[in-house]
Amino acid sequence: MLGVFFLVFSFDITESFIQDKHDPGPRYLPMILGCLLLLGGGSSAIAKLLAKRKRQSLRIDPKAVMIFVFTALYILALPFLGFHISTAMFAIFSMLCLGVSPRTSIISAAVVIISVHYIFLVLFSISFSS
Amino acid sequence: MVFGVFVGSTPGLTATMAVALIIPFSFQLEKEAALAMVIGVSFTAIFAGDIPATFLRIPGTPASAAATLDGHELAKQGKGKEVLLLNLLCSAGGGMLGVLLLVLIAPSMAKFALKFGSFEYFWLCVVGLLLGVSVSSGKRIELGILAAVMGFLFALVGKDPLTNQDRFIFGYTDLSNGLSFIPAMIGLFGISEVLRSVASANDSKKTGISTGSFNLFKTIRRIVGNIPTFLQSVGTGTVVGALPGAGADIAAWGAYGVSEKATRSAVPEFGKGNWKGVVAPTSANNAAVAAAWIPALVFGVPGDAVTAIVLGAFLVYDITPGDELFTSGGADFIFAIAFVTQLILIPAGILGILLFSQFTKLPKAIVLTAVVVFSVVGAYAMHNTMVDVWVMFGFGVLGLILERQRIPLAPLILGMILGPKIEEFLRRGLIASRGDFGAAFESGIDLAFVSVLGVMLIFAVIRRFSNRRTDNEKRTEY
Repeated sequence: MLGVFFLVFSFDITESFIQDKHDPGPRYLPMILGCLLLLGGGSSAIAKLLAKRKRQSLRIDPKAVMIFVFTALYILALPFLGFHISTAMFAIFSMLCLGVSPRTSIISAAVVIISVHYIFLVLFSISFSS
Repeated sequence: MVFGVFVGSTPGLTATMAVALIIPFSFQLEKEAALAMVIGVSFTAIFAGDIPATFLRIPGTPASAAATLDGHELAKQGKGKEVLLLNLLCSAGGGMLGVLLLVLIAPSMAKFALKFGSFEYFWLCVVGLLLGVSVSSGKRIELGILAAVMGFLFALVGKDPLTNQDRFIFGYTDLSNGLSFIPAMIGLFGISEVLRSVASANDSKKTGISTGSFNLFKTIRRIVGNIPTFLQSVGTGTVVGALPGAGADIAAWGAYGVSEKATRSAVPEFGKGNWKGVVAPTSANNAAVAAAWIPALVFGVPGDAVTAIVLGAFLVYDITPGDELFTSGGADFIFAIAFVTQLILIPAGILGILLFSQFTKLPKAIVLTAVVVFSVVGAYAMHNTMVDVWVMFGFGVLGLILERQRIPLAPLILGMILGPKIEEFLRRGLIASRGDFGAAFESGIDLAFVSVLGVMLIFAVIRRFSNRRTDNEKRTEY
């Protein structure tokens, strides 16, 4: 899929008027690599099908899915809720989901937030919306 | 130096950042103390990147990415502290030897490095990429090449370096600067590891990493047993580090590759907890930091980003690179600081390992949550933009998918690091030679690299066929 994506969109790359006549340009390599990825990925998929291996059952752990969703929501919420609130919510809910007691979750979340606050925001002056 | 350990071991904060951050503080000090501070941080941060790479599989700096392979595997076997003590001693030893080589061969090495034109750099990067791919892919080299191509393509997102044309940004200007390599690395190794750990966790009590204990005598015996690997890696690190633009990350992968090639029938295999796989990258990356000073001090051409920043600071202190620096004795002072730094690195490093190992003793749920928060903030810290955070998250998911398909992650990172350099040097070479690719085979250095490539190809084919034969034999036995 990635190979198709890069190959198709490499045709959209425009040549530049400042380009040297001996320079192959900005799109020749994406095209070649897109083709390679497409061929490599395709042949690998075919090889897997031909191998007739016993298919591994795709076991998706609900906890992993929860953490995945929490992380996505955390990143989405960061610009709106600010660093402190979104991190507190993410940390507490994640730890609760992973089986940590509510009290330990709240204390640990506070420690993580304070550590990150002092390391990144105070010491290195990285400005998150707060 | 403690600052260097701290920044280096924090994912998202690189050695370059550590040096950049310490320079404003150094202006408050006397010239000598300020120089010591800046040089000390540059060496320490490179080692410190190995600490989270070993314990958590999250490289602290790009130069530590190779340490996630064997180092982390051994840490999972309860040998984390042992690995890091070996890392520390090899880093300090590699740095010391690197400084000695710097003193002895600085002028001649720098002159050799200047013989490298665009095509020589092109071949160097191609050899480096294929060497890294062949080493980190194990028996399935085709999957490694696939991952490297993928990484190469991701690295092409953003502005074309030669013509400034946009590629794959779809009008989204935040992507003009490309997909940042550090967030991608944090995502691939850190977030994917978190998701995998959660999925595989039967108990939420432990991190799965037993840090083990320090054993100095055992570590020294291990170093003595791996002296050839150590020396070979220091040599590789010095040569690569002396080439402007190559850097400690390429040196680490190069040394890892050379070491794997030089080891016959390694048990356990490289990438599965081989001690040589620990010694090689860590010895090379600190040696490369020292070697990066060769072109910097002789010609004022920095070997990597860290040296470029320090060189800028030198100019503030009225230290001008060139012949005069060597005749006035100024270079001797810099060499002395760099050498002493390696000795102080040992206690500072031990402190860092002890502090970081406490972190891994916390319950797994807390560690995993903290890793996600640090990864998010670390990715954001690169350019203060949310795009990097999404890149990190996207690569985390990609890492999980690729690992499920048994596609190795390290070649993807190598493709991202070396891909843009390969493209740039190739195109610059073609422009300089008026479109004649035959010029890429003219110099002795070119031919040497092409010969190495040829030998690698032959070995790869032989290895592939011998693996297939072994597999078939195993199948017939059953």
